[in-house]
Amino acid sequence: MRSTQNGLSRRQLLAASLALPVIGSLPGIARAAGLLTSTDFHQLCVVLTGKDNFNPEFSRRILKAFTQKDSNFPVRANDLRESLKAADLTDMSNFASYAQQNKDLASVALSIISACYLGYTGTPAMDATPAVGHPVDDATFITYVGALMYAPTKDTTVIPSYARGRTNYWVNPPSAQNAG
Amino acid sequence: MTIQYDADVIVVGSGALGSNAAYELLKHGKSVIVLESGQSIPRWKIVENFRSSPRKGNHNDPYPNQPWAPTSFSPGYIENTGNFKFLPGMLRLVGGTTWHWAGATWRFLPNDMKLKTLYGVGRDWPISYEDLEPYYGRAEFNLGVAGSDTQDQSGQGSNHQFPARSTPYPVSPEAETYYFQRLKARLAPEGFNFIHEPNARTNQPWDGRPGCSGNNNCMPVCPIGAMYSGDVHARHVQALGGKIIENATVFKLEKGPDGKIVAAHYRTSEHKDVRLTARYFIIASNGLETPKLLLMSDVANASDQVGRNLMDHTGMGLQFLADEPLWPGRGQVQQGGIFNWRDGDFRREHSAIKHALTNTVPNRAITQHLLSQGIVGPELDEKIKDWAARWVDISTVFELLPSPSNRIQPSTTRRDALGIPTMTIHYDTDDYIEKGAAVAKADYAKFVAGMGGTVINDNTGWQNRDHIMGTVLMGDDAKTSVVNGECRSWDHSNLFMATTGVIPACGVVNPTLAGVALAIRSADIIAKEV
Repeated sequence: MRSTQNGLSRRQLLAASLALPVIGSLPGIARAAGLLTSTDFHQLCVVLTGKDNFNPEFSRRILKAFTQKDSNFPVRANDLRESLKAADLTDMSNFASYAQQNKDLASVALSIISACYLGYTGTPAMDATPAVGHPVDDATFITYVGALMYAPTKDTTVIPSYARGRTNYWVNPPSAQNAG
Repeated sequence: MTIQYDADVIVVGSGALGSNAAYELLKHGKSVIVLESGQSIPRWKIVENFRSSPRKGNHNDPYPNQPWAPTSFSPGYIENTGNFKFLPGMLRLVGGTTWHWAGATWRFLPNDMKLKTLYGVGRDWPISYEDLEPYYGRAEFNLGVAGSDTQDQSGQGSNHQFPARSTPYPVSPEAETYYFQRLKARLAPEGFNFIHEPNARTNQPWDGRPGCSGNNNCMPVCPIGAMYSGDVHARHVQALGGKIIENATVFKLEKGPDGKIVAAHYRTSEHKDVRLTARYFIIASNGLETPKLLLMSDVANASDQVGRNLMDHTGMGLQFLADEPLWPGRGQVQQGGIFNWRDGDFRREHSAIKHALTNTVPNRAITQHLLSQGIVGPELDEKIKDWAARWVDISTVFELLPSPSNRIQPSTTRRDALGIPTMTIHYDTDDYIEKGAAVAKADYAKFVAGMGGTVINDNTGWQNRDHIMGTVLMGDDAKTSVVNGECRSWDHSNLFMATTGVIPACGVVNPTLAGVALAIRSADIIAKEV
């Protein structure tokens, strides 16, 4: 019996996993066969951010960036998706308790949320810039004006490099009449 | 036989200092060639580079970083050996590093220039404030500086203008941000003297530039060119018939038999070497590349001071949340600060201190912090909105003393793509600023208490401030300094330095305006001799 188990091929293991969907991470292996669609991932981004109007193009970019860095990322994202479903987590107000019980998948969730809010993946180098033959970090651009971190202050501050006010608008605090 | 020259004057470097020197010489009718290691790039491309970069807080990132003109952030370009990683954001393109400054254009105080005489530490400048004053005025005009004609900029709280000026600021100050107003209203009664920062972000049309409209992106690039950068006078140089040769890295200054410099040798991006002659030479390649070139060329260093005495306004910071909305991020990225420790007898014991109020849109810093705490969902949005209204960011700088062991040297082991040595820097912080840091931290506690604040970070450690000084310092003795009070090499009478590297006592104010003023002064001197 033991020797037979040791001799299982990857194909056999995959087949076994399909028959045993609740065992550990095996369901993820099944999803690695391409079952996580970009639509699935976008829906995951929508759940994680609570933003129904999150741009699907940004979701595609995030999935691509993470997958290029880690080919197993779709598996982990799918695990997260299924785990959130199983936990019936639709309101991110309850994320903290979920994260307590699912620390590994919570870190995947935070990395996706981070990309949606900051507009990039990875860790940007602050005192090195890429040169020919010298990548300096794993950072990938996703979006600038679409980064969710700017939405809460859209009525009070500009997204840097853009302008809505005129010279000296800054003398006043923001108001409905002065949304510069 | 009459000697033929390629130009009256060759200027090495097309940044704010080199371009202003070249411009003044051209106005005097001299022929000028400017050699620039980098390229010219239009503003809109830099803006697009910035907007599509994942490295928004990296001020060098949107700029060219070519193999033949590596910026200071090019991997391996600067090798550090001291206790502090000295890594300023220096650029290589037409217009130079003022593409990404914040336009702070203070004048040094008369006392800053007499540090040794008055306080017994550091060095004196070999010239006085009065010597430089008219040139400050011309520099401010060229840059379209907006400033107050009524404030005591020494921070000592008098009710009259100081230092003295012979001309008013060319542009009146912009309106105070609500953020600045509220901090001043609550902290000034505690004894803190708030001073408006004179700045080269014009707020009215000036020299082809529009007024600032609060894009809040002075660093890394002003998208509309309201903020001055060296490309303005690079264009003026070309308009007056000056020639700017791009992709031309000067790697050697050639000495003649009479002790004068006779030629500059540059290497193109295609590895072709070219020799150009001139009557006079101005090296304006910033405070690191200038001494590197002198050392590589074995010129101007009879004093053995070239590359030594490297100083920055090494700094630290404070971030906290005030107990009321202050609305930072509206307007320019900085507007002034608190200057009580700008001058006084305490400088015998510890460094002078400047606390600047940073006014950048804080969303990225806040969101990174909140995500690191695991905060997501509606709470994340609510906290971003709330914190962004109450965020206070103080950027503090200290006055370093010149130390011969803090130095930049050409690397003996590494070379760039042109085969030119990269650089090695040794930089140690000292007790003088450590004592200053203790004083600054006591201020931090008062700022936080005065604003009913909650500290986010009050222990940042030492930070770069990109104000490079001392490396070709001026003095009144050829044995102990690199240039005299004219910024002329003691060793070669036709060689001048136009760099903040000439500054021998660094105070706490951003040195670029003084550098431009000195460059204009040197140009006037050269024009009389050529």
